[in-house]
Amino acid sequence: MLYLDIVRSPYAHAKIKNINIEEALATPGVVSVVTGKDLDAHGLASMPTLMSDKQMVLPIDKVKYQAQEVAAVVATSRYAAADGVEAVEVDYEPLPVVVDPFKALEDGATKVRDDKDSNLIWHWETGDKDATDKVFDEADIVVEQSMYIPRIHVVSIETCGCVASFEPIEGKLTLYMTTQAPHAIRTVLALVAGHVGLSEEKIRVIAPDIGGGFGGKVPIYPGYIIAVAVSFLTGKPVKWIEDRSENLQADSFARDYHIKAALSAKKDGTLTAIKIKTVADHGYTDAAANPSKFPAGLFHICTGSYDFKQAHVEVDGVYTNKPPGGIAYRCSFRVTEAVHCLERMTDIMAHELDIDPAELRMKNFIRPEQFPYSSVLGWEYDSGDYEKALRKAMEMIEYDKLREEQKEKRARGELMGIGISSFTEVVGAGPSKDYDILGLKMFDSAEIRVHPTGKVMARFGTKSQGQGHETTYAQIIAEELGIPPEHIQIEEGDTDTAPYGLGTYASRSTPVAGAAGALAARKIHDKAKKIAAHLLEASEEDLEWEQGKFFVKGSPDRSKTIQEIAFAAYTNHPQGRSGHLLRPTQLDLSFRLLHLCRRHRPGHGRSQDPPFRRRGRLRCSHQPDDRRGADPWRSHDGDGARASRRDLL
Amino acid sequence: MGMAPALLEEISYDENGNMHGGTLMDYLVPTAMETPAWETGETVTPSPHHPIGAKGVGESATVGAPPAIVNAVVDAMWHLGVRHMEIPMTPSRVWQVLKEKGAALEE
Repeated sequence: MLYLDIVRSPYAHAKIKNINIEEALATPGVVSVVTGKDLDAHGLASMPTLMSDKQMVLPIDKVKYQAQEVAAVVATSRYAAADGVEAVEVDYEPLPVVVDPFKALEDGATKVRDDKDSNLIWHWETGDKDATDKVFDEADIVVEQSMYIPRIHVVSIETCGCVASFEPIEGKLTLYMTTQAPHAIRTVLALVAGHVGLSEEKIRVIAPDIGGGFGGKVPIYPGYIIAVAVSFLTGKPVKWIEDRSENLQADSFARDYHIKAALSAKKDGTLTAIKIKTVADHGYTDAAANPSKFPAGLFHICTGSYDFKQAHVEVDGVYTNKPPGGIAYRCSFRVTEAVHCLERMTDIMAHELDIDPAELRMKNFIRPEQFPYSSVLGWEYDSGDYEKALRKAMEMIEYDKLREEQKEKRARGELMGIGISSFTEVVGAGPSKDYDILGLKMFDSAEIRVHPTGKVMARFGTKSQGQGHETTYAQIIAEELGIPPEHIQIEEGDTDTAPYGLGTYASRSTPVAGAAGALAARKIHDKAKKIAAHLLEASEEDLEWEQGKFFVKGSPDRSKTIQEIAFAAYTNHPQGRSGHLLRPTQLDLSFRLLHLCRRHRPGHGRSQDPPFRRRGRLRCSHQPDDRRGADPWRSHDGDGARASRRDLL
Repeated sequence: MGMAPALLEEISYDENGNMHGGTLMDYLVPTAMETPAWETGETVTPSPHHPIGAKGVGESATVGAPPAIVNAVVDAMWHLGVRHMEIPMTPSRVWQVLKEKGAALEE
């Protein structure tokens, strides 16, 4: 195993004049130092983001934020790697810094990106501006407020990290990684590194138990790509684990929305329209984990639970000298920002009108009979009873008594406040009209196997980070099949065994993968019914289901349990009912020929050598693991060193 | 954990792009000590688009809580002329506002 540690920039914006790695290479245990130029030679110095922007893996000439990755040290131990990081000397020339997005938008502002015309990434707006302005002109009352939703960090207990293990003989990469979306990562890796010969069937991503994700473990960060590249070049497993400060300073950031909102209403408290202008600070690149088709994600859910007739939203995405932000932390893609804005504005309006904030909300809620409801900014709401939910909450906290208590305390000069918020979140990402990742759209799948003894193995393309999918999915399947949940094994996180899925974030696992699980279980239920009919010599129409068994109508003792049916599915199924069982009618006598085959290159069957197969260009000092004393990069070639055995029938 | 961004968490930078709070000494994450007990209740309105009517609620507590907490703090001080509070509403920020409004206790 080799270990990776990263040299990070102390400057938020600087030119890299020189990187001196001599002393680092002389540090005991250090195997190599990787710089942006090394990665650039393989076309890996940058990677595309989900928002079609560009993110540096390692910089070639400039750093754009403090704590940015500048070089990576590869060593035989984590300690040696850290010593190597200390020994790398980087000569920086500091450049002017812009961290305020409003200043970044001014004429003559320091340009964050050399490859762009300005710091404005995009301008996006939705809603009918003129119609909204007209409603404002006619309003009895308008309230305005600016607010800042600061940048925050997910702080999962476990930081980001991976073990990248490229096996040169098989030409296969196994990436053990703390990720919320193993399949999506596999596809993205194949797209990022396809040109060096890593194609998708040769990539296995395994997400074992994860110490929290909260959206921060959806993206691919530079450390992952560096670890993969170094393993590819050395043919050895490479471990990269961030420390806490690296994690806090370099990745997993959310929010950073500067919002200016205006809300209009009638005197009686009827909300009529909302206008929102936002400056969104994305840091130096737009790497938002945003699978929607809208640059500001789902921000236009900002009409919330209320029946607005008009609304208009504008967002400007801006580059600054900060790390990339915009991951979907504790919310689905900017819903939290939208909710914060609307619920603050609603409360300000209630206070201005001297109407109880709960009452004002009740007055404006979308009514149950209005569902399915189309919001003025284009969202379809499926169902809900918002008033009932708020009334329930008010009863639980004894709202009226609290207001009395508040009045008494205020009379005594004590301060007491009561806060309410109501929100509508877009979950279950998502329908293809609104969502897309890399052209894949969004979906999830489930695969259920029932064993002969009636026990179940179910695999999903999502990945629990502590949400308890093992319980939820097992309960869903148990309900559909009548098999106790404790007899159902749930498995996720290994792309070689789990069916494809887009992962776990944005409150989507139960709505999407859970639905797939229920539908797959229903298919099995239907098959079970056919087998039961065969076993009971009855027609399917004559069978009734009660949790766990089929019985013949009117004869409850003529029944078959789901476990009996499962056994019969392997042993006594009706002809033509199963496509996957071959039951031999006589013994076959075959002989085997053992054939030894020398596989001499990892890109077995490829006509051209993949570029990485040649000697790597990374500088290296020594290679203690290389017993032959030959070129350490040579292990890819594996020529004659190993043979594989192939059985021929 | 909607109380965390409402009361404690913020990643900020100085004008040179130096990050404040690169350690857990500076970036305040609530521990069991700061986290209150809560009571939950639910109503049921099944989704017509889902085979078992399920909706995602994994993030519910964190989406709605921050504005509810701000609304409560502002509600306590509205009569003093406080109209809005930025998050995180740290003790010093709240004290500063009370002091400006003449409502802070004497030191």
